[in-house]
Amino acid sequence: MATWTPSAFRRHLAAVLLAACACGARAGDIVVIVHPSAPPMTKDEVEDVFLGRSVRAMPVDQARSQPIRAEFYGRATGRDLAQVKAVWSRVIFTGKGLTPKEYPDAAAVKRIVADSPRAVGYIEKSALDPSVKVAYEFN
Amino acid sequence: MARSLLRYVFSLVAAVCAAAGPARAAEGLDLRFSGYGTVAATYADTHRALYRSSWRQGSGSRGRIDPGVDSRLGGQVNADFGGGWSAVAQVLAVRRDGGDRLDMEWLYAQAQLNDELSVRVGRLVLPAFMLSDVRNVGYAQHWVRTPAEVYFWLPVTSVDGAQLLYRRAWNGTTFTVQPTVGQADTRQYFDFGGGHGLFSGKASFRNVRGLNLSAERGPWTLRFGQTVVDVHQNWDNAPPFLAPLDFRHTFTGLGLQYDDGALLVMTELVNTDTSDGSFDSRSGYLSVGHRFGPWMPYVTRAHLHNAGTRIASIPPSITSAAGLRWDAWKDVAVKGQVERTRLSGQQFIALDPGVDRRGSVTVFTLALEFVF
Repeated sequence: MATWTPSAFRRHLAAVLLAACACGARAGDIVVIVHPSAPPMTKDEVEDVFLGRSVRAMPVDQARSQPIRAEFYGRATGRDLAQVKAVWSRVIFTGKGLTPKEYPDAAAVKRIVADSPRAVGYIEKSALDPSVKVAYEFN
Repeated sequence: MARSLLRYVFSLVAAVCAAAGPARAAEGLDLRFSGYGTVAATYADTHRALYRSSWRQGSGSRGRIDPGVDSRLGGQVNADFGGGWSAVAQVLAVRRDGGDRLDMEWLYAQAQLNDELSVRVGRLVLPAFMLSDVRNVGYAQHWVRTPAEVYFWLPVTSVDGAQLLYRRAWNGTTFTVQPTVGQADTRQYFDFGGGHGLFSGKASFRNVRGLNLSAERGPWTLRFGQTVVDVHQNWDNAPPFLAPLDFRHTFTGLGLQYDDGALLVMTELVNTDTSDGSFDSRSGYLSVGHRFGPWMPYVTRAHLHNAGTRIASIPPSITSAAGLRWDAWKDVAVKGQVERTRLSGQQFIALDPGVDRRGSVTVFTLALEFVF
């Protein structure tokens, strides 16, 4: 049976924090990808593209069932998916644009981004390959 | 005249669709369906007047729950024909113009001339105020409805005409320039007090000329707009003191919004100026909200000062509202709002004779908002 001395508590706390950091690091490796000919982006530019404020870029989404989607929007825009939907419904119902097209997974996103110079997508860093270029990295 | 213009617009849209036919084979027709809706219950705690949400409504809540004041349903089709050609149609079912009606809200053809510039012809949105273009889409807003003190002044949400939309990003700021010309017809319902009752009639809005300018940078949106309209108001049941109205109405508005995902601050100041000085006014509101996960409490305060010769005797209208938005499920939000508003507001019609318009009424609204 564990004895809850202050030092044992600190040891447990450290272990919990370490585990949390490790999880965070795994979930945190998200890269924003573009066509190899496209320039890199700043975080503000990424946010603008994925909130429908950009005039040129064509954002593409992963399926809503993919956990990376909520993680990406949280990091890129500071908003949860419900808020993001509210922002995009302003874009749609003012006639300024359409919501990003959805692709089922990272492989599909890479294919569309490799094919179209305006497309901007996001994938796990581990799924990266030379067909696309990293425009911004969340870490 | 309006009907012939609409026919012209419909045939133009049909022509654009036909012309885009060959492009369809090459690039593929991209059709997208979307929609929005509000199911609401509105209750005004008074038996001395009717509470409504637009000049275009002739009925409302008088001491009972009325689902018709704020409920609506919209459906939209976006057709992208490729090569920069597209068309948008939106139908809206809402209580206005004398009944619960299904109207063609938008129907326009759009040509994207380059990355930044597009031109639209048909029935299209009139962005007279900061939120005019999404005022029907409850899910896109934090509150139950746009403040009556400001948004009653121009009940027209779309016009038959043409519009340019120019959007340009420069140094991290996105600028929008959106001039509009067109015309529209509505039915409006008024109460001039004194127990004379409810007056209604067709209003024609001719030579609508609007300019909407906005700058968006990060969480900030700054917006300036001016819309000039030649108004002709006929009456179905005019008493002797009411002649048809003819004047030019100029709406000038300045708006500022801050939304960083957690904190929302929104304010707008609007001046309305009439050529004969009859309906001049100044109005504005401030709304502040904060998101805590799926919960967003907010407060709003709105003022209207009546300065025109026909309305100067009506005391200022003031509304204080508090509400809560709850993003309950995917694409569905639930909102509750309580407001104290004065009987001097344009929201109230069919006032009992001798009612003190400085008195206040409490209005409760529960709304379920969705998009699909």
